[in-house]
Amino acid sequence: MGGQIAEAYRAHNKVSKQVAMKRAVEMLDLVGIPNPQRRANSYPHEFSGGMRQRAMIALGLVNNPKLLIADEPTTALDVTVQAQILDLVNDLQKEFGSAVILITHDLAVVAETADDILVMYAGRGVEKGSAKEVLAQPSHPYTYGLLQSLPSHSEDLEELKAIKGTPPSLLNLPSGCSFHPRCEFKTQVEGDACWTVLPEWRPTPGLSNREIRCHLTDPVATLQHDEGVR
Amino acid sequence: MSDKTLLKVTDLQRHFPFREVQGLKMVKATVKAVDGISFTVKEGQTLGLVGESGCGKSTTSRLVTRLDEPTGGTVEFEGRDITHLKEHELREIRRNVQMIFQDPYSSLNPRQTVGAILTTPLRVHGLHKGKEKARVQELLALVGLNPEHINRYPSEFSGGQRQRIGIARALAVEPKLIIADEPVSALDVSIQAQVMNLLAKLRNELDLAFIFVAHDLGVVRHFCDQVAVMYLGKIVEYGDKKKIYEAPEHPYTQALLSAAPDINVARGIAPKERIRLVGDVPSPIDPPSGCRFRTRCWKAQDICAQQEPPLVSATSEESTRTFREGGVHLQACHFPEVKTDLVAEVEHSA
Ligand SMILES: Nc1ncnc2c1ncn2[C@@H]1O[C@H](COP(=O)(O)OP(=O)(O)O)[C@@H](O)[C@H]1O
Ligand code: SF4
Ligand SMILES: [Mg+2]
Repeated sequence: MGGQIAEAYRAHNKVSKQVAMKRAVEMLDLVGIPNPQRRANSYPHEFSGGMRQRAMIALGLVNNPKLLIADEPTTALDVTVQAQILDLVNDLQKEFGSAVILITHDLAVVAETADDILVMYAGRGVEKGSAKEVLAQPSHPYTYGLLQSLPSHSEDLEELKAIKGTPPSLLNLPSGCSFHPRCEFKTQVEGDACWTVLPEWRPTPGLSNREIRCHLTDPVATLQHDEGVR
Repeated sequence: MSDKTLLKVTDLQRHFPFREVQGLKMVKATVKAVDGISFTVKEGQTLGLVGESGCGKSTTSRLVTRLDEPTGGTVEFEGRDITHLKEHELREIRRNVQMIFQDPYSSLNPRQTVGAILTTPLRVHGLHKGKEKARVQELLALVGLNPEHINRYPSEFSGGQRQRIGIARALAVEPKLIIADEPVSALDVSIQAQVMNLLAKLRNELDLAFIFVAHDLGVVRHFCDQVAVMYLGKIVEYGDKKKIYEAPEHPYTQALLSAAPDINVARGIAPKERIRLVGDVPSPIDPPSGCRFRTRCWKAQDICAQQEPPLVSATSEESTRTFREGGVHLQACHFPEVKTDLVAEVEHSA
């Protein structure tokens, strides 16, 4: 693992192998790997899941990047280890000042770590804004449906509020808004726009710092009304 | 839920022997995947089995369905000891106890049509003779699939639909108990709620008992009556859902609950107080002496390395004794944390 990190360092810095290895050990230490000097000589498969993810973060940060992209960094990990890794990413971000793009399917992870959020559906963004605000008050039917379907949202209800249907194939996207076959609110849009016109990004009426791709005239009111009715 | 006990598991154990290279020698070692666990499941009851990967959930599932044979302890189904039955003696168990698997992709034979997949269990058990096709179509409709799709192959279905096929296959033989091993973990988030709703509907309509295995604490809280928390092959806490989630007594349960990220943070609710465990789960080959959680536990004292804490009630002897009848709160820690107000409430309402 140390060799890999050292190599990545040497690709961008004219230093000797020894210096690069020293840097690799420092990085392993920084991400909380015990006995970094010794562990630098271990292979990735000799690490536990959590330690391997720490080592990957060390590899990602060794050249002081301005941007770190983490694709489902904790999905394969258990919750107690996930919590450690997310803490680590948060701490290192403060220390290094890198920006982080965290790609995840877990809305709760976003709620606890991200500043901003872009919600994607079938290859396109559908809602963006401050992470906390979006999750507290979604304004796109897909974001809303996802949040409603979480078990934590209907703890003592017999039935979860599921989104119907299945995600479309990217080879054969629905016409108009890709979400329309699964959207419960399309009938509240005048005409057949949802079936025929791909919605452009626009600010959500009534909310600041928020954009959606949806044809609803007043999505906030529509979704609030729905939540009240349920 | 009736009072009739369907499944009774006592001191269940599964050790996997293997050889490993240590230096220049081959040495014998044992993975203690499941190491002495006890619980019961009553008719119509749903027991949740939670814990981090490798703690023995899937092994437990395979033992109680007798897809695997225990190396210790007993499994009884409706009072009959099935621990060491041979394959040909397991016919009736296969009919009464069925399993739903995590991966809807690998658990279905890709070269068989849905019709063939669902007809096989009917043939094996001689059910609905001569009317198999009608029964298969009924099953498809039951799990929300189009009965017309009987001649399609698994690859023609989405992940959620394949999991529905897996559920239909489990239901084909009209079981009393279903073991669902992480049935929604591999599915798209937007599909998970649909499949959970289907399981809940079937449970009500068919009066099924469930062992529901999951690492997602939210899903277990939604679906289960009782919860058993596992750590390194042991049950460390067991009880009614409300007690486990609202008044966890074992440090590991507390840590597990507090580590789960909370969406409510977005709604301005202050984040829970965080217990951060250090390190990873130790290997089940050589688990720590005494309490297996002690290497990560912030409460650990000398006694924790010397004595294994038994699974008992933290509050009264009486409830320990009634454990095997169900309905109590048990934990295995030398220093459990008892929420006194909740104890008072529970005892008052009892
Ligand atoms: N057939 C086997 N041979 C050896 N070890 C096994 C076998 N099956 C499971 N194990 C080990 O037993 C432990 C428990 O595994 P498992 O029951 O799959 O856990 P879980 O489902 O909770 O993730 C793990 O350490 C795993 O590696
Ligand atoms: S028995 Fe000791 S080590 Fe185990 S959970 Fe309790 S306090 Fe921690
Ligand atoms: Mg498993």
